[in-house]
Amino acid sequence: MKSLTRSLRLGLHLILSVIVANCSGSSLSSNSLTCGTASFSGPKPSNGSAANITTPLSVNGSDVNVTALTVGCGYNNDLCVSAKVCAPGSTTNCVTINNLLLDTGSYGLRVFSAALGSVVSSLTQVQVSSTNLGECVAYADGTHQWGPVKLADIQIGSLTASSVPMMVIDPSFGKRSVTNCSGTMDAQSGGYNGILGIGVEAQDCGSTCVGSAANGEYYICTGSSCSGSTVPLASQVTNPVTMLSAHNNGTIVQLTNVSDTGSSSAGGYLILGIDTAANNTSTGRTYFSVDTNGNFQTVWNSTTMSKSFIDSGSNALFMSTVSPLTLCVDGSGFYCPGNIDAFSATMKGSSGANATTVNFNVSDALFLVGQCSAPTAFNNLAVHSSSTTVFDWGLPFFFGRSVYTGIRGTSGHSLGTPPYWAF
Amino acid sequence: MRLILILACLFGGVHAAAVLGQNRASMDTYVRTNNAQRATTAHGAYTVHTLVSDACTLKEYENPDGKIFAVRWEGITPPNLQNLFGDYYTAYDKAHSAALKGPHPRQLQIKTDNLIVQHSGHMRHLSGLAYDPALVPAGVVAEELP
Repeated sequence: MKSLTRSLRLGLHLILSVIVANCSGSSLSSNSLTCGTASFSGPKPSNGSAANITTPLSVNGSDVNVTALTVGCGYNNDLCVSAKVCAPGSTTNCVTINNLLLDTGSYGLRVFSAALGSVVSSLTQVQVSSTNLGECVAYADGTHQWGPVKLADIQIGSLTASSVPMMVIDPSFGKRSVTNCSGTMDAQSGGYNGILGIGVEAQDCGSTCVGSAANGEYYICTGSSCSGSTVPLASQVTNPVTMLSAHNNGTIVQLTNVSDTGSSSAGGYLILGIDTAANNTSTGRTYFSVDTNGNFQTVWNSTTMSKSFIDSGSNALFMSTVSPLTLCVDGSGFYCPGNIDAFSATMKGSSGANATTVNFNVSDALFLVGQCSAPTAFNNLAVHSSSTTVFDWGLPFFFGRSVYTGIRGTSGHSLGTPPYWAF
Repeated sequence: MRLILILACLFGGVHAAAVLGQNRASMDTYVRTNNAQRATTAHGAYTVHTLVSDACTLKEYENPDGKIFAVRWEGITPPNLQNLFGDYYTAYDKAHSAALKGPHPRQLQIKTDNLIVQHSGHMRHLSGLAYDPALVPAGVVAEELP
């Protein structure tokens, strides 16, 4: 098995280099290494594959504050949810948007214009100074999205948030006349129909955009003439959780654990609210406070990385290289250690409190992905980052855990003052 | 003055010379054209110029030859990379576009023949580092620049 594994890996490195982040198209179905069931030839980690997974909350999918989640609707470690978008005040002029990326690393709903169909024309354009408001939103992959801000009623599971400012991703708005909005992802190429941002903030910009017209994010446009604009908090693209009729102070993402070689059927629940019902109690969970920038601390390789965060929209863990991690030969940035290697890091609140060791594994991305014929959930994919201050706990962290996001400015939390993460 | 600093960070680069890889005079032009104020601190092997605005903090690192060998940004909105990278931008843009084809890691490291760029962070707190390895002073690790 070992030699077979080795030769397969060597022979497939080049082929897999194009599909490392999306294994659809792999032609490995004829060999015995089936996605999700293969065993590794290399040494097993000494501390197990998920040494400190947490006890799941008792959840029924029919609960009013619960929505089902799947993983891999578009690509590996793509956390997917559905939401219904309606014209404000309407219960019939609606469209259900599937394959939304559920993202604890952003704030607010963003949907590609094409995915909204005819409903898009019934959404209410938000104005500032009687002029249409749009935004250029930036992401950590160096891309931007551009489009107008509109009001919609957003239904997540059985709960509705009314007249929520959301973003329609549409490069035709204002003829995209803003110069500093390059590296765009306006085309629907991301593998999803949009992004549902449910992170620790209530708005996507906050006080900076209230006070400064040169915020670089918000613009008012007349025809193709756009200029930077201040925007009141109430008009900024808003985390829809905060505007739900109930269960609106935070969320819990609870995903099943997956095996060392991944799972094509991983999933779980988005539970709305924290300490608002029997199914979302925070009893026994560890609280990690978050600073003004939405970050907490992670000690990794003896370095305190004070700008760390938990991000379900990141398809891997992102951290600096330590021995024995090595990069994949394809230049993708993923780690390819050749087997499963066990690591640990220490999470702390932004004040340094509640130090908690988190064990995790890093496996060989090319080997893992090469075994799968469809997008898969992996708890051991990691990507090199040269940052000395950021540890990004991406989706691999979520498997086998219930991850709490307490939203800034909300109330009713037993664990402590929001914003925070807990698990 | 606060507003002027913001404008410098976000928009001023449109009319200014690029910074990365350019000499001290080029950076002076950038600062003057944008009417920006900078805080400057010496770190032995290099000098740090810090431009702070509401939207982002931009740091420029100058080597003993007067060349800007690295830039680091942090804030709500990244600076205009086309203006910041100058002659490096075309190769960066090509490598970046290639890396974006299909699903890709959410945080990207882009490498060209003479530029390394690390994008990082999350909404409301994006950060990045770009440097030309050939211009980094001996004994300095770009990733550890303050």
